[in-house]
Amino acid sequence: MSIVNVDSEGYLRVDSTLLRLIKLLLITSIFISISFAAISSRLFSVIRFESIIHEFDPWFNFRATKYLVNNSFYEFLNWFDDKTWYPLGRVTGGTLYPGLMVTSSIIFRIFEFIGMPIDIRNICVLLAPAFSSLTSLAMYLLTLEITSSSKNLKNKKTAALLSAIFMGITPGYISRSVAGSYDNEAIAITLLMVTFYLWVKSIHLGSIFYACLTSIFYFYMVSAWGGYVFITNIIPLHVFILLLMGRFDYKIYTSYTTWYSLGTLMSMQIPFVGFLPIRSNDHMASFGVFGLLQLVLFANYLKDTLNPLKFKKIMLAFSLLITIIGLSSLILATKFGLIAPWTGRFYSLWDTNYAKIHIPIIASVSEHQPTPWSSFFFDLNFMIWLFPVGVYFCFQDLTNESVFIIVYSVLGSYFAGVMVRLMLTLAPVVCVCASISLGRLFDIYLDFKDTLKIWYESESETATKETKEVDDDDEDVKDSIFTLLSKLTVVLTFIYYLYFYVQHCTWVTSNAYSSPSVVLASKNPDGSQLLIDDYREAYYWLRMNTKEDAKIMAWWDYGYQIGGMADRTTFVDNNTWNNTHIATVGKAMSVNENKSEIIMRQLGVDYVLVIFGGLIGYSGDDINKFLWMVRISEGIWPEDVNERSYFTDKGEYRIDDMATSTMKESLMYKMSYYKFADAYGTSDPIDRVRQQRMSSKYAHSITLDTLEEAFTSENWIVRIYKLKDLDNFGRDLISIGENERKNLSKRNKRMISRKKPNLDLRV
Amino acid sequence: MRLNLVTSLILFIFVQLGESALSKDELKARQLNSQSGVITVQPSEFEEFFSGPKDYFLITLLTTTTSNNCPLCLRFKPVFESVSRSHRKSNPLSKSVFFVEVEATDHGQSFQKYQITTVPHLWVYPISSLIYKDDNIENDTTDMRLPLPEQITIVSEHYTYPIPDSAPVDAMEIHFAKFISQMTKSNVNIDKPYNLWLAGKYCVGFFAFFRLIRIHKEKVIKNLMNGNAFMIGSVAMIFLSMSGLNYCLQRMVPFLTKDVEGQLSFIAYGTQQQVGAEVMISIFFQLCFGFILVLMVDGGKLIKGKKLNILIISLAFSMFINYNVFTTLFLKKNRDYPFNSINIPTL
Repeated sequence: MSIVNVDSEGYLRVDSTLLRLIKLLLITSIFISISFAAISSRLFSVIRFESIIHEFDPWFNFRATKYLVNNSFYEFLNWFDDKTWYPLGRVTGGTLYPGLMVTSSIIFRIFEFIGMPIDIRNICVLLAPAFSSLTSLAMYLLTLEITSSSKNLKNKKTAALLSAIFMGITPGYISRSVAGSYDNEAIAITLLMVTFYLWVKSIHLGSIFYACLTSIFYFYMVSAWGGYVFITNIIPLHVFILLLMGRFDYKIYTSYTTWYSLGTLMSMQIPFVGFLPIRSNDHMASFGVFGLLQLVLFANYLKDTLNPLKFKKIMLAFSLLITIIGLSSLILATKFGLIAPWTGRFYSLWDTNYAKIHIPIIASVSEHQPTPWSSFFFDLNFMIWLFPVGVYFCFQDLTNESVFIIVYSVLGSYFAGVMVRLMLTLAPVVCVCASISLGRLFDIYLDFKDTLKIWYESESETATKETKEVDDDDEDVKDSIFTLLSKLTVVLTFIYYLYFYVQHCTWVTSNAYSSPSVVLASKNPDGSQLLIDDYREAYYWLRMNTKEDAKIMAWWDYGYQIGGMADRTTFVDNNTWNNTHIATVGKAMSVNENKSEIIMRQLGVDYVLVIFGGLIGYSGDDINKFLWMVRISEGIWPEDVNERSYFTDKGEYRIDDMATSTMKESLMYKMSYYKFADAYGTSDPIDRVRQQRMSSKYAHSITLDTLEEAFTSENWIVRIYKLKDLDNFGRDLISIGENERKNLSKRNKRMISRKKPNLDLRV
Repeated sequence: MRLNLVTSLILFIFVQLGESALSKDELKARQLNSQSGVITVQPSEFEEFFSGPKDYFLITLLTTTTSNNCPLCLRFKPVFESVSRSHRKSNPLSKSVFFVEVEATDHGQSFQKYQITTVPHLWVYPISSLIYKDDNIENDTTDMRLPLPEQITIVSEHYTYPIPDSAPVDAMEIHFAKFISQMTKSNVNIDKPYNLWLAGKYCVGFFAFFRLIRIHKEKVIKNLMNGNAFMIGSVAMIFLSMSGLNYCLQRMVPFLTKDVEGQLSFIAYGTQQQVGAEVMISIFFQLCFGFILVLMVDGGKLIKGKKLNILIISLAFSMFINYNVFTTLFLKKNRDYPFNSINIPTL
């Protein structure tokens, strides 16, 4: 029998295996192209710059991964890092989420095993794009699962594939997963999606197997990202709402209890998490729902055995008792310290002004800022309109699975509005909802069956019948042409939007999210690209020219980079676990030289590193971050540091001649503008970031006595100072400097000012 | 009457002596007479108030409230008055702390003389014996106090209270009261008059709300039961969250701004900036798109035939226009945005 044949009625019959084969081939090729799109749109930075780790946190992850690859797993877990947080050190192995490092080291070992040794750096750089293609696959499965019992949506696979491609290239997700951004989120979003998929599946089937898989992936997620708390709270919330809707059944019971008990036990194996799941308030919701489920089960049993009146009475007494016991035990446990109090980051999610007032270190991070609406469009493009409509469609057929999506979308959009970084957790649900609404739309408008049928029938009818009914048929055909036209209009406009979605995503990725921020790109006047590589220049200098145990003081933003690239000891870094230590460094930067010298000697500082963008106009420098140093140290020493005194009487933040004396005397200010005037000769120096002009005379009078300039990078972005040794005769360094300046004769001064500094390009 | 007589006598004596501050009793009398315990310095008394040694704390606010040039002055004035009133109420007999207000427009000459160029300032002149040495005890090395200057004026030694310019009024009150109480070592219990207006508004609001619910009781219950209320709530919540409402509340941004040419603008330039009006704009677009999309999908259930086709085509066109209006608008926020195919300027 041939594969294709014409049967007796004249229909074309194709063998079903062939059809299935074609379908499989199509889906596979669609997936390959989605993966290709997802990976390739994340490679801008590798192509433009080089295969390099980005930003700040990834540098730590990279360093930790290297440690793990070079040492055993147990050594990694017991790693005490004496190169950071000097003199305290950091119990690194116990205070990190090891999932990311373990993942890449396993990949490294696998490649080594099959005889393809790859540099660990390349694995780290390309891990995020690789996982992003897995994320799209997980999205496909999740959407398919959610729409599986939907009555209104016909072409479920279309919707699922749409959600996969949406997720693959949406800037909201790309922002955290470009090549080189080797951060926890790189694998965490994939795990989040897989966990949600398995959860929805297990609640759909009520299967213990899938619930176990859910908890295994939950464990992986806990090991990879602090955001696992999102899962810990959203799953109980989902179950709780289902209970309120009166949808309790044994499927829910089975999957939740299995997930909770296994997941909690497993998550406690991560050293950093430890006993948090049973002590921290963030996890109490899941515990509460676990208890509630048992009670509901018990009540169900009673309902079956007792008569209604008795049951009602017992239930009333029972629920009252439970509420009182539950509430009082929660309060008592919190009072006695059995349950840890809520964490600050958690508070700042609900009370949006909390962080601003109480915890400057959280408020200082730009990722924790609230989101303006244009960011939503920027990161999600036209999906922001499809998303609420998708939620509306979810309400239309309210299955257990779509309740999950509704809960997720309401919570996710609220959190994304509070903090920019949580756009990341919103993006997946937006993709699901957008694909549901587009799927519904395409169900109607890509369906040309009716039109074709009418045409075919009218043709065959005219061939067989007389002219009697032809008028009627003509009407039908005309109508169908009109319908076709309207359908085509809609389809064409949506193709237009989709086309611009792809364009928009590529543009945003290439412009906003593909800068490594270690190497800066700018344009020459003639349009050619200019790379500013000051950071690496300075870190390399540190690596080559300082003692191996030299201790570098810098603001915490640069801690990981100094550790990763310069391999030197730092005082504070991006793991902001000790606020007081950070405030100490902040204080040393913000008080005058006299006081600062005492702090620096106590800390054991050898070098001080500052970032200064005033010469070339790089706005992310330390003078702009300076107020945060002041605020954070003011939180600990309000009597020594006062934010107001860094502003002029008019409330302006000035750095020129009009700056306040506190500002002018602060160490950070002096380090930034020391010898700044020399770059401008006799003309007035201009700070190109603050757009303020200093008078030449004043700028020449900025002095530093306790520190000496050790290195300044090509564009002055990084400046490194060395703390001078104590004077041999026990004199005060500052008074020595003052005396020297006093003894300079006028002639000498003139000589000095006439001598031009060497500003040639060092290549 | 007797008090007045005595004070005028003392005043007379002090004026004769030339250089000394006003007495406690006189200030107390004026404090009791004023409404909130703030003594306003008259132009003729400027020197008297600030010259000479004092045996009380003088909490001085240099301000201007006659013109609208100084928003901070206007904001701080009620705080100052309320703390002053609270202080008087907490320490009715105290004669050691006085709140004094100097209006800059009345004292132009004096301000010029002492080169005070900016307002507002809050300066606290402590009891002179706390910061200055007595004349007759000499060379006590443990005494860290300053030598008594020849002249005491408004610009001689004082404490400065930095007036916070971004805090809400309540926080400002507490902060200022704390400062005063630490400085003068006295209790200040902030006493605020009961805000009847606010309470009334809440009462009326709640009453109206519950009334409305009671009238439409059955409808409300029906909507709650069939989930429509939850649906509307969820979608509205998403609209609000994505409109940057949180951003506006947290940053306390203005509703509208004026651009360089002085024209009102509804949109702040820059994707990381937003003014209050944009919340409305964002929700408006959400509503438009959502409505059109829902009609496109569910329109077939409402009408059939030719009318449906006309409806669909017009919906498709209106969405297309809407989309381009939006991208044109977005171009205002981000001038480099390249994907605005059809320019439809509005606003």
